[in-house]
Amino acid sequence: MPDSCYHCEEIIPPGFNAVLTISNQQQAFCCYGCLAIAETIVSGGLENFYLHRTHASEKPDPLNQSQQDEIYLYDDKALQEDFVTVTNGISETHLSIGGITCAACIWLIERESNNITGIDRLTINHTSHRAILTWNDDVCSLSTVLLKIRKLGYKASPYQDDLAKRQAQLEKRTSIFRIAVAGIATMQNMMFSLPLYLGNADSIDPEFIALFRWVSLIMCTPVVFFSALPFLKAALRDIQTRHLTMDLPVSIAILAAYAASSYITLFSSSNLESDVYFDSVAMFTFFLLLGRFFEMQTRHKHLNSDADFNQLLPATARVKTTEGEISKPAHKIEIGDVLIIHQGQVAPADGIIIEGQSHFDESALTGEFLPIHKSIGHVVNGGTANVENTVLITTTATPKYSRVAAIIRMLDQAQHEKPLTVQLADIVASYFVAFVLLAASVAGVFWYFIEPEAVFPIVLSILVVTCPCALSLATPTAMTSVNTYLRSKGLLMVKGHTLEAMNSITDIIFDKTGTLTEGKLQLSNTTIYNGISESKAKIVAAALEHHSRHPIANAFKSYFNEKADQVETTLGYGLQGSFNGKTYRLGNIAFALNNASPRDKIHASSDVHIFLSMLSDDQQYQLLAQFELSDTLRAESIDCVEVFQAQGFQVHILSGDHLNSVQHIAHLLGINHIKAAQSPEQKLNYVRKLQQEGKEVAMVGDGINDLPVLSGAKLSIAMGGASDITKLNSDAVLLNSHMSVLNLAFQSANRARKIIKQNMAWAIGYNLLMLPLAAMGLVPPYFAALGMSLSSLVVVFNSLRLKS
Amino acid sequence: MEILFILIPVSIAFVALAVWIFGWAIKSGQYDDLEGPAHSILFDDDADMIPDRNNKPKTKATKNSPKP
Repeated sequence: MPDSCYHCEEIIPPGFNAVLTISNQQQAFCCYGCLAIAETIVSGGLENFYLHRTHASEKPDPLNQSQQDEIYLYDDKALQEDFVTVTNGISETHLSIGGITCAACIWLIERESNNITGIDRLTINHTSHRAILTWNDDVCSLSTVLLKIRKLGYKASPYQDDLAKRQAQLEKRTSIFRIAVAGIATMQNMMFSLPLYLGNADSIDPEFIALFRWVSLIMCTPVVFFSALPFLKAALRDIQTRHLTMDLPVSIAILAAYAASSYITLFSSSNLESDVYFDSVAMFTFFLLLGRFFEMQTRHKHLNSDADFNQLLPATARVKTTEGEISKPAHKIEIGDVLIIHQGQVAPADGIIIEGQSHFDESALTGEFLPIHKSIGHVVNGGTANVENTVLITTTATPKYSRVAAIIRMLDQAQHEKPLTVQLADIVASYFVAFVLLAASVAGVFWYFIEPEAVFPIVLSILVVTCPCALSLATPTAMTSVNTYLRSKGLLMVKGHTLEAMNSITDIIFDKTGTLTEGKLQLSNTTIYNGISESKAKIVAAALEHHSRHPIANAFKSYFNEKADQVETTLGYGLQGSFNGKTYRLGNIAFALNNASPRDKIHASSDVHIFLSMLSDDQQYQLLAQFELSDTLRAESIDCVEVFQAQGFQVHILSGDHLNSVQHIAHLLGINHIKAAQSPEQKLNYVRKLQQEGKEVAMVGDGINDLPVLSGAKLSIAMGGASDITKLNSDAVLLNSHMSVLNLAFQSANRARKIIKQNMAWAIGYNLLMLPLAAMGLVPPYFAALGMSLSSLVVVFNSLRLKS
Repeated sequence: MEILFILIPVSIAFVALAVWIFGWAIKSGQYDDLEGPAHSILFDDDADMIPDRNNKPKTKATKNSPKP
């Protein structure tokens, strides 16, 4: 029996047994959620998905009742006005789809959705993971599609285009058109230039030479004034800000060559000896644009990744009005509205509780996995989930200005900071530009005294051949392709210096709870009594817990198979419900056995024991099972630490927990450097001490209490479960729980450094080699344009190697 | 060779037409996803359309071969 799940490739919990025959082979699964998805896929005849995919699927999150209700809300016509357009009875909307890991996922979703009757078409963009859906609303509802996608293990929700995304799309479309115009013009120009280059003037009739020149002029004009416009604009800006970039010599070369060639064509058609350079202009622009396009592509990929954070707030809200409870699009909430937040729902805006009391799961904001008690007068933050009772809040800030939104905006800002190394490359490039302009003028003056007619082609060749675009592409292309690659593996680089910093790290410090361990309660041990089987006990417990949003319920999620009925919650004690006709209780020992005597509340702590009992025929509660829940080690922690130690990194654990539990974990991982029961200040001091010894420290953590250390360390990595404020202050965020990605990141950083060095060496070497040749007049302008473009493409393709 | 004076302007008109069509294709969103088509062509989801396999064709009715 394999030990990892066929669907999500996570480790199957010991004793769990769920199998399905796929393509004549029996496959095992880690939870009923994964099994259900596999069943859906196989029943749709799409088992080829498992052959085609290149990455494991995400572990699904079973849908609870309130989430399902929320999906049905999207069928509301009033709500749909905001994101659905209807033409001729066909509705159209955009969906944002989460959980896509590779191209096969897209194939699966498209195939499965397009089979639904009433669906006109669903297409998913491979880069942005956005889908366009058109359907007939009379035949099938939007929620049908959303639920179907959900059944396959992906999350889909309607979204509205924001300005940044639309601009990015426009920018991309415009640049493709610019490239197309330049490319077509280059090919046409080549056709008319070749006879002029090959034959001498005597063998071609003068009127044909004039014709070819005129045609070249016509073809080249849109290239200069449309395709090359970004360079001309940037050069103008450079002059205004007195800052040299490669746009300046590029623009001088393009404009000068175009102007001189046009002059010859228009006014000295009799001068058959002079050359025109329309072909060089077009080709130069074409290749420059191509290089920029590759760079832009990787940049936009980065933009799409930010979108994941925007899904923290729900799209709809329940508002209490004089006519009763109505649903409203979240962006139409106003300050002072009374919102109803039912059990299991996420607060759509910040507010103050005016009725009821409950526990709120604030993990999205603070990373704390145990819910926090809130009663009248307490502040509820948008993006936090109500775990227990329905409460009413009055809105104090609209979703747009809620705390989560503020944090997201700060994160956006931090990501737009220009990275340090890229700036360095710009400075180098600007000196290089000054040098090139100087060299070109010296060569021009020199040739003026020797052979005046040769001045123009030689200066042009120097400007074109030494174009430092390969140099300025060297670092950003390498960085962006590593960032994209790591992002696809689940590590988001928030700040620019992260990759550089990785190369100098000597010591890596891990926090314990939530970093090396899961940071949530998991079933660690089950004891059974009175003849029930272990798997049956778990299924019953999961059925009861399905109705609860308490963190304890999450521990049973993976065993969920069937629903229980008539489930009642006794706050803080446990649950009661009927399953297959029998009444069961799940809770603390006193509740489970229905002892009237003092009932200790269950305190969610790092170790929890809960009990399952059944009401027998003689009306007695009979104990069936005891579940022990604790925070367990992440599956990949051991390998991750082992690899780091093998690579020569010193690994430490720095935790606020008791020595005993830290020692236990350290022993499992084979780590000798541990510090337990540390306050945030002590943690920071520990890092400072290491730094004074000359060590370069990387810190991996998740909590608010790790915040000072994270900012004190040279490199900080936050776990995906961390609070947003922690993520914001980190250099990188691990979005999934795969610790092995950290190993990969350090290896990639090393490779990136090598590639950047290769790129720099190539770019500088090529330019220095070609400069004297061009100055001697050995490089004709069209060859210079070809060479400089090939040099840039070498750099771009070299950088793209980092993606694999 | 005087025909060039007609042919070249004609070719310019064709180029202009090609550029216009290209612009239309970009505007209609055909170039928004540059990766997808490269992947989707590799997924063999036409198994039921290949005749010489054990699985029966789903789309076609089963053949009734006439006896000799």
